[in-house]
Amino acid sequence: MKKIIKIGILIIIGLVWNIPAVSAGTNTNIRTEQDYRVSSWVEVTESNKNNILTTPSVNEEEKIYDFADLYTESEEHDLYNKVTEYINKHNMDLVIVTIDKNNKSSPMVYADDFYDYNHFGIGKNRDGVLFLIDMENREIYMSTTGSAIKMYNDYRINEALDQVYQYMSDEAYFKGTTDYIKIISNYAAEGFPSGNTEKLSIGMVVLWSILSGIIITGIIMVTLIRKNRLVRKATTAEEYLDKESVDIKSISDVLISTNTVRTKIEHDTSSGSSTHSGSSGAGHGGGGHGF
Amino acid sequence: MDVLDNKCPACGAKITFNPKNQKWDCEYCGSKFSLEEMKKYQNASSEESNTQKKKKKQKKLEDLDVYTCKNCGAEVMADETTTATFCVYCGSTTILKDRIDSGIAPSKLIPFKKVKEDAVDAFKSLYKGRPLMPKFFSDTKNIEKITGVYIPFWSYDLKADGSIDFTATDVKTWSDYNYRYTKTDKFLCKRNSKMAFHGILVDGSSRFDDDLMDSLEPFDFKELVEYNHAYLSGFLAEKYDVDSNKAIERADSRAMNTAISMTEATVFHHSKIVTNNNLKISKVDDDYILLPVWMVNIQYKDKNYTFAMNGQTGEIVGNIPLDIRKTILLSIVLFVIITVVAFLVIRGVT
Repeated sequence: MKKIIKIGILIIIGLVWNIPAVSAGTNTNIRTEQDYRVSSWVEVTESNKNNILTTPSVNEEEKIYDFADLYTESEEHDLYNKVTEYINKHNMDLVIVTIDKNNKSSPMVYADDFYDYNHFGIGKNRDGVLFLIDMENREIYMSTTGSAIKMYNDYRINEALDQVYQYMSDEAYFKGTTDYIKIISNYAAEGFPSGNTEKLSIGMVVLWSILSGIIITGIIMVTLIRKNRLVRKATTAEEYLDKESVDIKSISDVLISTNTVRTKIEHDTSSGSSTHSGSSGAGHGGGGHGF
Repeated sequence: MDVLDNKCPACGAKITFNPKNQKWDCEYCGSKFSLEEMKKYQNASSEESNTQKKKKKQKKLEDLDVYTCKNCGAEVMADETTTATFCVYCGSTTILKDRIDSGIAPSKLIPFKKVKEDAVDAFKSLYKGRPLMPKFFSDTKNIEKITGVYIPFWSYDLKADGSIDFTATDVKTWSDYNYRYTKTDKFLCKRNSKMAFHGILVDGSSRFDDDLMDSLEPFDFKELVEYNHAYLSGFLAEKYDVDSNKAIERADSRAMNTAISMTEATVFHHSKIVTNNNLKISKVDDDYILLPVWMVNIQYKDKNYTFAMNGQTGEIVGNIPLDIRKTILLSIVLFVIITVVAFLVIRGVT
C-alpha cells in the first residue's frame, strides 16, 4: 500500500514537473557544467562559470519572463504583441523580465547576465534592450546592447525610467511596462540622438556636402590666388646675419609669479550611454531607477 | 677705379657687356674682351683710381645720358651704347634725353647674368601652375619690352647691441577625475645681445615699391664687383633718390626684428613678450650699389603691373592680376564637383 502511495506521489510529482507552462516566460531549462546552454560567442571561464549557472536558461522566443508574476495572462499576451511590434519595427530585440528574488549582486548584473547567457539580440552586435523589474531590490533596470547603447544614451534611459517608475511604486506594473515600451519605441523612431553622425537625414547630408564644397573650394581658390602673389615684404634680416657674431648672454631668469586654478570637470555623456562589461565580457549600457 | 670708355679696344666701335660670357663683345669686329683686357687697352683719357673709399663715393658719374620721362618723371641713365625709347616705369614713349647731373657713382655692382631671352622665357612660363593668370600676361608682345635696369640699392652693415627684457608665461594643465588644474608661471628674463649684419639691402629708388624690391632678394654677393661703367653698356641704370639716412630705417627695422627673435630663442619658456627693449642698432658701414633687374610693365584693364626679375638668379617677382572670369568659372566648377563627391561620400559612410 505504502509503495503504491509512493509511486502515486512520484507519478503526480512527475506530471506536475512536466506540465507545460500555463503562463509564458516562466519555463526554464537546467544548465549543467556539461551543457551551459550559452551562445557560442560566450567563453566559459572559471570566473563567469557561476554567473552562467545561476542565470535561468529560457526560450528566447517568449520575450516576456514574468518570474515575479506581476502580469496577468492576458496582460502578458498583450505585452508580447507590443514587444514583437517593437522588434519588427526597430530591428532591435526587446526582453521584459520580472523577478522577486535576485540571486545576483545587482539588477545590472542580473539583467546583463540574463541577456548575455540566453540567445537574445539581433545581428552580430546582438542589438537589443532588456527591461528588468527587480522586486527584491525594488528597482527597474534597463540594459542595452549593441546599437541600442547608442540609441539609448544616459539621457534617454533616465527619461524613460523617470516616467514609468511611479507606476511600479503604485503596483501598476502592466501600465508601467506598456508606457516604457511606448517611450523607448518613440526614441527609436526619432533615430540616434544628436551628436551621433550615423544615419543623418538627407537634409543634413546635403547641408554638409554644400558646406564641404564651400570650404574645400575656398581652400583651393585661396591657394591658387596666392600663387599670383609674387611679392613678399621682407621684415627680417636673417639672411644677412653674421652667425659668428651672435653673442647673447643670459642675465637673469626669475620666476615672478605662479598661480594654479582648478575647475570642476563636468562628465559629459551626450553620445550614447556610459558602458560597462558584464561577466561574459560583452559591453552593455544601461541605467536603473528605484521605485 | 678705372673708368672705361665703352669702345672696342680693337676697332673703336661701341661695345656692350654680354651677361652670358661675362665679357664685352664687339658686334663689329667680333672681338671679345675681359674686364682686365678692357682695362689694359683702355683709352688714355681714363683717370687713375682714388684708393680712398670716401672719395670714391663722391665721384660723379660721367659720360652718361639721363632720360627723363615726361609722363611720370622717372629718370634713367644710359651710356652712349644704349638708348631708352620708352619709360621702363610707365611705358610712356615721351622721354627726353639730357645731360644733366647723373649723380654719385656707386661703389659696387653685380653684373647681369641673365640675358633678355632668359627673362622672356621665364616670364612666358609664369602661367604654369597659375590657372587664374590672364592669358594676356604671357603674350609675347607684352614681354618684348622687358628691359635690363641696374637698380640702386643701399647696402648696410649694421650691428645690434643692448639688453632686452622678456616676460614669459608657462601654462601647464593636468587633471584628475574631478578637477582640471591650470598652473600659470610668469618669468622675467633679461638678455644681453650682440650681433652683426652684413649687407642688408634697401631699395634706393622711390620709383619702386619697396616690397617688390625686397622680394627680389637674395642676391649672391660673391659676385659683387667694383663699379665700372663699362658694365652699364647695353643696360639702363637708375640713380638713387632715397638718401642713405632715410633708407636705413628699413634696414634697421629688419635687423631689429631678427635681433629680437634671435634673442627670444634663448628664452626657454612659452609665450614671450618683450617688455623692455634697450637694443640699439647702429650703422657700421653703408655702400651704394647697383643690382641687375629685368623690368617690364604691363597694362591690364587700365592698371599698371610692374614685374621684375632678379638679373642674377632669375627669380621673378610682381603681383599677377586675377582673370576674374576664369576665377569665377573655376570656383563654380570646383564647388559643384566637390559638393557632389562629398554628398556621395557622406551618404556612403552613413
